Amino acid sequence: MKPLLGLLSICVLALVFVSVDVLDADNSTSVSSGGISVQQGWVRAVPWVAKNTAAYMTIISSRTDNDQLLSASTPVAESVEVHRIVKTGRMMEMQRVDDLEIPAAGEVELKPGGYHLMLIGLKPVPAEGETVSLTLHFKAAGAPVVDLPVRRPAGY
Amino acid sequence: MLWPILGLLYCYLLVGQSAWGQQEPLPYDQTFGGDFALQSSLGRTLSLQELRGKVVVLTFGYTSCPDICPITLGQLGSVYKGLGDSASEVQVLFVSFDPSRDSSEQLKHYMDFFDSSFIGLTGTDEQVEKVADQYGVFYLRRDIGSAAGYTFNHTSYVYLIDQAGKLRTFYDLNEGSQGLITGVKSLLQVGAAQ
Ligand SMILES: [Cu+2]
Repeated sequence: MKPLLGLLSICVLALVFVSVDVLDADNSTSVSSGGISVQQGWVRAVPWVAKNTAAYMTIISSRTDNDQLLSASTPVAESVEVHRIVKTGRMMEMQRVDDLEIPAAGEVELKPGGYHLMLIGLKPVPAEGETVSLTLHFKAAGAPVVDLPVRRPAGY
Repeated sequence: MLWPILGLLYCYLLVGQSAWGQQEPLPYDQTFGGDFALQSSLGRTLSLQELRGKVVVLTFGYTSCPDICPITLGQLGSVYKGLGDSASEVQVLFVSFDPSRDSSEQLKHYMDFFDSSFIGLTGTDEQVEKVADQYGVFYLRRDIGSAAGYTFNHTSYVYLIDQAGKLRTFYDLNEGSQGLITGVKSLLQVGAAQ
């Protein structure tokens, strides 16, 4: 019985640490506009010689109709595009997405290895700890501005 | 209902590794691997032969890559730092298959962000392609109509080379870096015993 108890306590501890880690990761503000809210956004800190970086966030809709993210813009980059990483066989492929569908009463998660907003032509590269202001242009929900922290994701 | 099972599995892995720390010896890769020499971020040509005696962790990518390559290098940075004192017996190499945008200088600054000991390598398109072929790496230059210019479809594995320059195995870090850590440590143990 004792080894099992030991195992269980390690389990509980492990789960506690995992959840604390997840909570810590969300140090961003959330913004809403026209029934769409943007949460847990962040920008990847990259080397100062990098030309591009990526922004991630969760877009949550409480709208009764589908909406689309048409474009985005930020003062720190020449252009912003929606991209998606797709794994086909052993290859990782980056695809461009023209209009990102935001389903009614649904959510779209932009995260590493999936969708991202690619900030292209950085001027200059935002440093870790800085904030990047990003305007999202939705077809119906308007153009909320989100302030995203620049950080290295957990694990590096 | 899945959580308790996952929890137990996690515990098993956790306890299994510390208490019954016997590791299977790493196999040798029978298909891929081999020596190469490329232009490096050290400002000179570097050959794999020069790194005999070190465990080499090799990966491929390009610095304009916004999502996959920095994730891999970030993971390698934390694996490397986690090795503590034995990190000096490990060398991380990043081969760029985008020589027209990744100069040695660009690679040096890019590597520094993840760890200043990491070495970036590149060469002519032909040289890089040869090394990629040796290791079973695929990359395909593509135009996706992005303002970022061309991109690459590519494999993103991390290759583990032993102190004798032999390729032992490779890892997909999308599944986490624990496998790589275990592999590196087992090679360091064997190295220390010799
Ligand atoms: Cu992208």
